Amino acid sequence: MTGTLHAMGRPGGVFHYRAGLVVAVRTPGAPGPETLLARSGRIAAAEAGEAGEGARTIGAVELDVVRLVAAYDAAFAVMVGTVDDCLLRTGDGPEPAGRGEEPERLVREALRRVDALRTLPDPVLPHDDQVAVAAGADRETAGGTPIRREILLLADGRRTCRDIAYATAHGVYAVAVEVSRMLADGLLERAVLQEDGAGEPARPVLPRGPAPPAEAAAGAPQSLPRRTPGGSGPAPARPEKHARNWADFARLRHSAG
Amino acid sequence: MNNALTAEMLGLRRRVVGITGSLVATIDGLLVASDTEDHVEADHLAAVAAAGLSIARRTVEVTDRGALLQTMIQGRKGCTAVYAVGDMALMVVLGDEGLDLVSLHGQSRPALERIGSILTEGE
Repeated sequence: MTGTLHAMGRPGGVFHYRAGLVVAVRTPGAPGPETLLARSGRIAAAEAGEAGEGARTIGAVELDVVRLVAAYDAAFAVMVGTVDDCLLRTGDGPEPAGRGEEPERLVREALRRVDALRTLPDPVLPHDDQVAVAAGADRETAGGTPIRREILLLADGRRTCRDIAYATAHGVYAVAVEVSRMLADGLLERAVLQEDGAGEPARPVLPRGPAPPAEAAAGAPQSLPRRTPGGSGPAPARPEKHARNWADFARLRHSAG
Repeated sequence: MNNALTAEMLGLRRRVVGITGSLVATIDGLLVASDTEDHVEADHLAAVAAAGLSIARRTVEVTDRGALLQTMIQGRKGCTAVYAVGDMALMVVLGDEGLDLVSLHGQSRPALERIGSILTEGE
């Protein structure tokens, strides 16, 4: 079978098949191979022309390994979440490159990881639970291992394990296991969500109708140019210049940038 | 900072995997409310987004594409979506490279309607 299996849910994902093998799993819940390579300073040989200083190109074998690692991690991310529905499409679209993996093996390993995470004392939901450094834990010194130090630096009460995985180029499973252990160790805590704004006095912050926002402009930060009601834009910071030919135009563009 | 606006932005970030932050600004780039990470300069982003949205409005006008709905700017490390909120305001949504665009598309419209309502009616 060649095609795609769409797992709809949160985070959901798409399994790409070629000749019965899974060649890629794409999900918002786990970083793909490109992210893993780019963040870690390694890049695929095909992108070497765009690489900056210090980037290291990788060979086809290593690229295959990274793709496989990313596919296993993505399958875990899909299965640890909720799947509301599945849709199978055969033979459509260009499938991503990759050596491929047997679907049974991929699913078995993903489910093993889900079970392993759930047996931890304080298991985290990788794409939902936002974590913060626990009161009393020192962000700078409490880390120990490199991955723990990175997690402590990024755990700001907004980020989930999934967000930290994207930011650090680690697999989401590895981050989720470590975060769960750090929750149990008292280094991290789940952030309390304050989403409900009910009960607060609500006032319009924009005037009704198309009146110029003069009141809003009065409270503008100093770094922003003041907008004059009825004016056509910010006051020019420098005398207006007029281009006489293409060379002048290029210089104007350069000085404006 | 308006609590109802902040609640909408927090709710959107919770519902859509990959959103890293958002803000609401007036159409001329003055910040109204923000839910952004510490390193994001919300005032600056509001001003830049307003300028970009203005150009996008002109683009849909000269190409006869109807009322502007949104612009989407994609970089290697993520994307920035700028939505028009009625005629008077805009919303910026920041996402990483794994942003769930399908979910964003489905969730952003009702959120924009509620934000528009909050801005004009205070509800």
